[in-house]
Amino acid sequence: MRNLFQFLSKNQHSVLFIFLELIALALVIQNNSFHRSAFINSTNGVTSTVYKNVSDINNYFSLKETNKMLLQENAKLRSTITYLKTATNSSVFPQHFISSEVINNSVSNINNYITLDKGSIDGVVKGMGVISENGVVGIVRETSKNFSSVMSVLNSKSRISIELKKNNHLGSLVWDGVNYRKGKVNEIPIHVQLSEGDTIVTSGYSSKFPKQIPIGTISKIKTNENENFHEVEIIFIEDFKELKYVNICNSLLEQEKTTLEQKNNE
Amino acid sequence: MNRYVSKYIARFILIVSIQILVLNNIFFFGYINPYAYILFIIMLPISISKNQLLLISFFLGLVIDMFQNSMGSHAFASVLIAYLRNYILGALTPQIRNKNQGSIEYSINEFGLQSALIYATIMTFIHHLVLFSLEIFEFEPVYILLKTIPSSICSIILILTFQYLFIKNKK
Repeated sequence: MRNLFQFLSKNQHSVLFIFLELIALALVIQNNSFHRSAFINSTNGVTSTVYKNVSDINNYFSLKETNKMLLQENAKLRSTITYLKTATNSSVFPQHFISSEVINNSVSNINNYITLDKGSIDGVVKGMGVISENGVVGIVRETSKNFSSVMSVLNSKSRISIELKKNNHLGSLVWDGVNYRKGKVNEIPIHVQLSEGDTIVTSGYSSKFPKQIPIGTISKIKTNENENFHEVEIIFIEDFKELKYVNICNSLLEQEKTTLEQKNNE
Repeated sequence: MNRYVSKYIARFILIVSIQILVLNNIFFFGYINPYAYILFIIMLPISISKNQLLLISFFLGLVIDMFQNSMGSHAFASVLIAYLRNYILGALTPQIRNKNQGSIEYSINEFGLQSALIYATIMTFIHHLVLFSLEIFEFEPVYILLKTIPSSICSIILILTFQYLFIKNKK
């Protein structure tokens, strides 16, 4: 202790120096809000890093919300487009769209079904078509109050009426249950000229889907002279494994058309 | 002794007023603000006790701070150069330790232009560097040096001129 005092009195001016500098520094920080905040900020590098990461994560959550909003807007715009098309071209049925989120999905079974988070309470009815940004997804098979089950295109029972975009020849889309990126198109007559890369779109004959919704592109053509139809393999534009948001097509005239056609059969 | 005290009080008032009333209002080329008031610290007698030197410098810095609204940063820089002053002087002229008697000041006429210039340059540069670092309060070396170097040059020229003027009066 005595040594300490000796040391202090020997280095009196250094102690005074440190004391005065501390006072000055305290004054700097105390009397200037900029310095105060800068001091606090620079000493709290850890805190700011934490906050930055938290806000990054929060952004991801709001990203989901933003996506939803954008999709709803997309659905709205889509129905506006079809409505406007109807105004000029009477062959297209007026459609409106219910945007929905995929909550369950499979691509590995032979009969794949997709579950959506919209149900009868939102106006979803059995038989409605489901499309995504990149093409046809499937047809609603069952609805409950809040959910609906969709028979995916990737289903051995699925038959979807399609046409060639370039010359409007009709065919039907099936899936052989093997590769979720590839589908098969049947019933294209052998005299139709096909080439790889041709786009397949919905025909609009089934009023479940709007006309001219792209489905895929032709990847392989096998022609057997003894048969009447091409064997065509297509690649889906939509990656069904990555399906997140879809639109359910509500064709307003579907019912009217169906009843009319039923009258023919009677 | 009293004569010296009154002389330094007068000098203190003179230098502080020049700094506050004139130099603080001149921004050479828009951003150079010379701080020539440290001339007072530079020109305090060599024989002054270390504690007195520190306290006087602190007070000087505080006064400048009050007028500049830059609480503490001038005081900090001034106390720092006051603390370093003895070491700088010792390094510049080792024989200084023997000249403890009387009120010798470290100025041009005592030690010549060259060592006075070196002394003033070291003191001013340290002072300005610390001052601007404190005012900016961020680690931006380029910006701090960009402010420090021109202001230092300006201050050094002013300090040497004032020294010359004071000495002339004395003679």
